[in-house]
Amino acid sequence: MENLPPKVSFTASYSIGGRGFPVNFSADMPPITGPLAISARPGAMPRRPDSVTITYGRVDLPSGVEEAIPSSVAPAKSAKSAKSAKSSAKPATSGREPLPHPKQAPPVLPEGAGNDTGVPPTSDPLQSAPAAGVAGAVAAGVAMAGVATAAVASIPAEAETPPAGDMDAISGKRVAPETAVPRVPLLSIDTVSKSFGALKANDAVSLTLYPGEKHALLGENGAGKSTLVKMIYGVLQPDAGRLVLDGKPVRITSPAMARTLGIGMVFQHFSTFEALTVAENLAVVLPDRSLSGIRKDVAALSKEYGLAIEPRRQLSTLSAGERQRVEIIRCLLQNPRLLIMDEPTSVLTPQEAEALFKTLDRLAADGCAILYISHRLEEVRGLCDTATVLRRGKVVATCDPRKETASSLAEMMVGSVIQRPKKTPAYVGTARLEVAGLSLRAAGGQALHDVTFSARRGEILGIAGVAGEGQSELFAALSGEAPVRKHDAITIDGAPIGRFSVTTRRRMGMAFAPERRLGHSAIADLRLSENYHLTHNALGKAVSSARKVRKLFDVRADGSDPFAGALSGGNLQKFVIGREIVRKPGVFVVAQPTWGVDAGAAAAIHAALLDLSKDGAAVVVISQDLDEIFAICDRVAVLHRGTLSEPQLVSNVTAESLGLLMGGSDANVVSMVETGA
Amino acid sequence: MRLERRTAPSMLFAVLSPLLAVALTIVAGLALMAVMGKDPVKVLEVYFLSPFADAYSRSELMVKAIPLALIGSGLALAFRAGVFNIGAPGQYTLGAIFAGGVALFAPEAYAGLWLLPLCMVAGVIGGMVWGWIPAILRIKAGANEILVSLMLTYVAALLLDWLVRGPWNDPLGRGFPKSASFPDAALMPILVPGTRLHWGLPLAVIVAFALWYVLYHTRRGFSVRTMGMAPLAAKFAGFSEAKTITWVMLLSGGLAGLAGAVEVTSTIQQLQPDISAGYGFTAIIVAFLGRLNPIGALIAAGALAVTYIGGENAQILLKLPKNVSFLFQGMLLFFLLACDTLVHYRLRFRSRAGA
Repeated sequence: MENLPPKVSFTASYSIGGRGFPVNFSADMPPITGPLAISARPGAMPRRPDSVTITYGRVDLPSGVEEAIPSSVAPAKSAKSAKSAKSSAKPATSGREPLPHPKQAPPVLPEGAGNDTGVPPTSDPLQSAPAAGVAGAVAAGVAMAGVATAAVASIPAEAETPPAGDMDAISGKRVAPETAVPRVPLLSIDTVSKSFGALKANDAVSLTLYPGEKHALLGENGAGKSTLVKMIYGVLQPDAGRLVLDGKPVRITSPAMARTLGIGMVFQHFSTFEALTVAENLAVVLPDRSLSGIRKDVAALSKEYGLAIEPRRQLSTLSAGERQRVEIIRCLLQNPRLLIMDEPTSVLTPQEAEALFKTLDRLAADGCAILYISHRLEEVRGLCDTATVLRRGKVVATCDPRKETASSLAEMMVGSVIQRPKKTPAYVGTARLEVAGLSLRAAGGQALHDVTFSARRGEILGIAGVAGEGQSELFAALSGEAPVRKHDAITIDGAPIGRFSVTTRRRMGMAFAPERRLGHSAIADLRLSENYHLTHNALGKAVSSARKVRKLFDVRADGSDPFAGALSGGNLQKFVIGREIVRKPGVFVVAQPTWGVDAGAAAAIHAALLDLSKDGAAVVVISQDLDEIFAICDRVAVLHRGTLSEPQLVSNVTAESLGLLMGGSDANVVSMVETGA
Repeated sequence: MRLERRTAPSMLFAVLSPLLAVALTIVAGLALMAVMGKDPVKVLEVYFLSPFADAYSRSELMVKAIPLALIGSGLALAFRAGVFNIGAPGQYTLGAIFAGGVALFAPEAYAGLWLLPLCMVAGVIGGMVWGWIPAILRIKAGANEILVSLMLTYVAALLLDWLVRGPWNDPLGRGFPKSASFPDAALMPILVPGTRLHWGLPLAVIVAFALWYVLYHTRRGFSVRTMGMAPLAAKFAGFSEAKTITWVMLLSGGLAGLAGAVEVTSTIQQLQPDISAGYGFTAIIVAFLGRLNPIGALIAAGALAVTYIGGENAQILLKLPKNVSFLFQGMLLFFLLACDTLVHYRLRFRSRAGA
């Protein structure tokens, strides 16, 4: 069989409106060993193909197109749905007779076998499904991962997967080992409740996780997602209800215990040692392992899951995406059966996120369940096969996110239809804020190199970029918290202000809202009226009523003048933004306006920013959230390692083109995407 | 039983915590006395009740409370800003030296009635100079104000020692390390005849109320509070960190200097190596016990004065060492900091059965 041409080709045919549309791709392949599955993420395919053909060399491989897993309510899924999946998984090849169920003795691929034989050699896909020895799960061609799945070819050699380069020809195609889906729950959360004082953070929450499932946990801020996750990870204990792992009730009393039970968690913020290497950082959390053993495992894991990471590199040289990979590897070293991901893509470029999804797909294919917390609905729709939606501590829906739209998911989260503000082209006038040749030395942070842009009357300028590329330094320079030496590097309405303090700048009509709410834009232990005073004392006015801001911007909180710390993130952010907008600034610089804010508040904040720009202000939005940039900005520039790209009209850019700029276009991010999968 | 963070700081416990700390201190102190073989009831009586027993003792309480309140209310502001001025004893000493210098060497004929106010002003300036040094070193060189101000305490003490043994030594003092006695015009008038209670008391009360007003009702006070709670937010509000540091160091140093000036012109009436009885350090406890609130510090100064008078009484009546006073003060600070946890956290009791 070594003589076989190393080529695999894939044809999917669609019929849309009576016309057929074939989609083809091919890839060079080393000899295949073991079962091969090709699956596609539904988000990447416009719709289910009618049929799929896969040819390896000149041999047609059997393939199957199966229904997506029935969504209904999670517990109803188990063995019954496995059966239905089995029956619905009709293997089909385009224009040929249905293939026999591929449960035959492992054959030998005949050399130069004719293509239209229709009886290709196959093997039992279950052979390759680790940890999937559950009966009833045998459904050839059933893959959680996607709509179209093809199996199978077994050749005795070493397992390999096809290179991803060509597969990117059809964007989003995934290659993953075939997984059967055992429908026995890995973890059942059974009517779990948790209260903090009067607040019921979780109210009789039930959720079932199956091995190999990619399960999204959706909800607004404060809906109870992190409380639930903390109970699974042993940080918190439920007040009522129970967790059932492998059919047995368990009490998970600590994160250490969770890890022994096979539950791993990748946090939003990583706790790592900058001066140590990757392997040393991992050794810190795995004290009973040798450094060389860890290095070997890291190399193996990074190869297996496309987590390109060099164990000898010092952590301080890694990007956020690479650090996240280190965190994932840390979890994988402990052989998790359930991996919890908390807002994993918030620090990633779109390309890095894409690479992460491939890794997660592969993990799921190996039988690891993934609990995925995110507020990015499109992402969840593309990645996950089940979603549980929490609202005010209760499960309001369990659904198949692929069958929902982003707005229907958002509706479930919020409980009402969200009026997304519409971007209408505003009148764009003269430049109000101009930054010319702004450079800063790196004083413990990121240096800025010759940053030049202008924000004009009536426009919202977006500054995109992943975290830590100089955003906070740029914000401090613009706000005057860190005045710059070159006085004319920053001008407002033509007047140079580089050396002026934040107070003087406010007097000249600027307003600012930093990224961090508590501790920067507001103080938790001060009342709202005092917090209002924070940015208004400079104007010499009396402490005007914070109540006006609360009323205008629908800031909800208990009491007539509550402490800022008692407000939810969304309400506090509405207050912080509203506090600046009521003074009608000419230039408003705001960082991460809707970071960690629920969808309703985000819509309100976006509407307020749009209104402000329409009234003739120049608004600068520094954001890591591309959706936000596309929703409200007129122009966008990308900050990468302290260098700002040329601002472009938002209508002329795509998420991909911005993503390349965010990753520094030449950077290893791109090559990683091409070779890492 | 575990701690749970409150959504908002508890007003109740902000008030209750010092009282709880005092109660715990007394209980723990008495237990310690019992272990040492003293009768706890007797200790309680001598230590905590005898200072209130008669009019003279009560006036002495207030005499001790005056420097504590002056220093403590200034420190309250510094600590509020997150500036840890631990060098109040040094600033106190410098205030005493400056005031003493004026008292000893100002030509009395010219100064007349102005001599005492001049002494006070000189004391404030002395304390400010000693407070300004750590401030400027922190701003310009990033030096830790805790270390610098603390070390300056010893410099000040040695300076005073050298002065009273050397250039300012009383020629008629038979070689004792003392200066000459201050002229009458430099002495603080007595408020209540027959006691040592002097005009420092109304001064301390006025200072405490004035500082309270500044802290809660002026922009300067707002900047002090914001800088202590969130330095980044204070900067964002446009408050200069350097200005705030300088201001609170000058203020707390000046008030410590004033306390030194008041003390040497009232009860001591001359300069000598030992002028403070540890007021500068005890005032740290006063500031915290008073919730870093100047008026609170005024009340706390009275409470801490009890340990001074009670300690003296215990020394005489119970043959307890003088250091027992410091033991009580230390325990008080310890319990206070522990109780303060309850302002931001609540205790939750869980039944074992449910676990």
